[in-house]
Amino acid sequence: MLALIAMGILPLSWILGNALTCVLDPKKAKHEYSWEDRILAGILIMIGLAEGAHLFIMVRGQSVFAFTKYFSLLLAATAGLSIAILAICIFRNKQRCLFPKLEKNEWILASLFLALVAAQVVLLCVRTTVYLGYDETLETVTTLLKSERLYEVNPLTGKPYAAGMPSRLKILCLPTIYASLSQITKASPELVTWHLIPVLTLLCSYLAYASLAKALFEEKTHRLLFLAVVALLVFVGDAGYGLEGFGLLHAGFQGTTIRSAVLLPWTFGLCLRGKWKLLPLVILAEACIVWTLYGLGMSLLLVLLYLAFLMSWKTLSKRKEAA
Amino acid sequence: MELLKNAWNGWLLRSGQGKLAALLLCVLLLAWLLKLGNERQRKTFLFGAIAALLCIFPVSAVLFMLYQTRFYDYEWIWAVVPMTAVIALGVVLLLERLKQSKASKKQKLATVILGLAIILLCSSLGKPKWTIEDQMKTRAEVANVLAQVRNYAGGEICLWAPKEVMEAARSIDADVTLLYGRTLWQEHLNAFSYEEDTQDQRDLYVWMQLAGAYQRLDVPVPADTDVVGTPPKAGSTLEGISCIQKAVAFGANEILLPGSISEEEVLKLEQAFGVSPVRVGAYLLLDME
Repeated sequence: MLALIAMGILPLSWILGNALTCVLDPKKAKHEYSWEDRILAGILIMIGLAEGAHLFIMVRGQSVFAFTKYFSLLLAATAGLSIAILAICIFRNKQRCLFPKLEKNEWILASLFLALVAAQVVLLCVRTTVYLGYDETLETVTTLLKSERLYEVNPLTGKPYAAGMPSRLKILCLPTIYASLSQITKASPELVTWHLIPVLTLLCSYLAYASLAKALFEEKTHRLLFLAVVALLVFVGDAGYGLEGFGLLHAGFQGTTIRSAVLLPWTFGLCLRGKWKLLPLVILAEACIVWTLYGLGMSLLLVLLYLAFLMSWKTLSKRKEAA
Repeated sequence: MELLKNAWNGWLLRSGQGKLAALLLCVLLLAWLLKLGNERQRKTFLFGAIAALLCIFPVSAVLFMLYQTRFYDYEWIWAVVPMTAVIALGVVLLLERLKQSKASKKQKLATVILGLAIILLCSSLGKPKWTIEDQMKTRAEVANVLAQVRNYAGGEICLWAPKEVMEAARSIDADVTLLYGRTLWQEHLNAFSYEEDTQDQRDLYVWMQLAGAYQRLDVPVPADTDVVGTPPKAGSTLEGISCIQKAVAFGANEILLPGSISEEEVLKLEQAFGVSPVRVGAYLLLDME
């Protein structure tokens, strides 16, 4: 069941993302967005739906069981709508999203990249080297599964909160998603939180970098080499807390890792290509999973910095041309 | 001023640790000197350089730290720098330039190997400073201990135990409640709720850690303890019997003491509470129900 759900998440997110890109750019969707973009957009839509269900049950004082019910309903409705939109798009534009075809010499680079990723996936599956210094996710997940209402019990002690917790933490939906996944699959919270989710985060991170690679390089060989170097840097980045590699290999379930390894590289890729329409989705998703300054997260900061940079670049280029 | 100091120290600490930031600066320098890349790639390099400089320059670093909320440390502002992307882009373009150069095959191979060695030297080479051990073994041991405690306990368990048990207990069995949580030794976790630990909880935590180290019930408090908040007064003595009585008064019904406590001291416990401690793994269980 767990494997089925894990394997189903990426195709489902592809369907959702594909429908969104069709809606955003009905005529140009084929050329504007890559399949990596579509999968990542789909995952962010799922986070959005989860956030909706999470807030709904929190306001109504319900349990994770109710979350699972509402989230499944929302997801099923959105997936149905997405399939309908896709069908219309395909009928109108004969749109097809093809997965990449590789030449013989590109297979060597692809194999090197896939070998590195496979090694990381195996490490995440067999090891339990989790960094817990700033984190109480697993305790929160186990507590949510036992509680009748969200965030009424202190996950670190198991006693009811006397003074409560900050609202800006209450709105974060990742623990609820993990608890729900654990409930649906009957897998232990530990397996879901410390193994399954980090593997998904790792794969999503490579999707984000694949999207960025398409923004940076024309040739497939260069893109594959870029991805292989990124995979190597993930191992190298294992050296210290706060680095992407460290997060991906030791804390892939944390919102901060998803932000720095998935959302920000993708944001940067979208900025480079000037695909602004998907950026609000990224910024909102970050607010749902990471403690931000009243919703203002690092994705927004990156976008603002990039816009300022772009304006300066254009001004300087014009001056140079004029000179 | 404190934030400014943290921002500056953060960079010093970071350059000593990961070295990836230094590699980033090297790549940026090479990209500039060799004029690597097309317009979009040069934009990426320049944006990476500007973002990195903003993170190194203390004043802008302070602004970033305030923006990301004070909960997060300095290293997290580096999330805004596309470090991995810039390094990988630089490596790809350098390899492309090498491929086009007139150097012999041997020279090219040597350059690639040297480059790879430089990248690998930026890693921890299998020995990260942030030692993270595989928690599987510890968790299995704690799960085993908790199962045995459950055999002795009649109903609900409110546990008081050494740090390593308290650390894993709630994530293994959410039915177990604890006398205090990890907030007593991991300060950042205090930001997750408005709850505050009491001085009694701090005393109990310090006593539990010291009882194992001193192997006796009455322990002197050293000058440095790893407790968050005000520690018990250095030089004072924490008495085991009164600490256990206090824990029971706070609701603890299952108490795991360090197994290293001597037999003489165990006898004192028996006399004081009329309960014989039972050996459970590496611990002594006092069933206070």
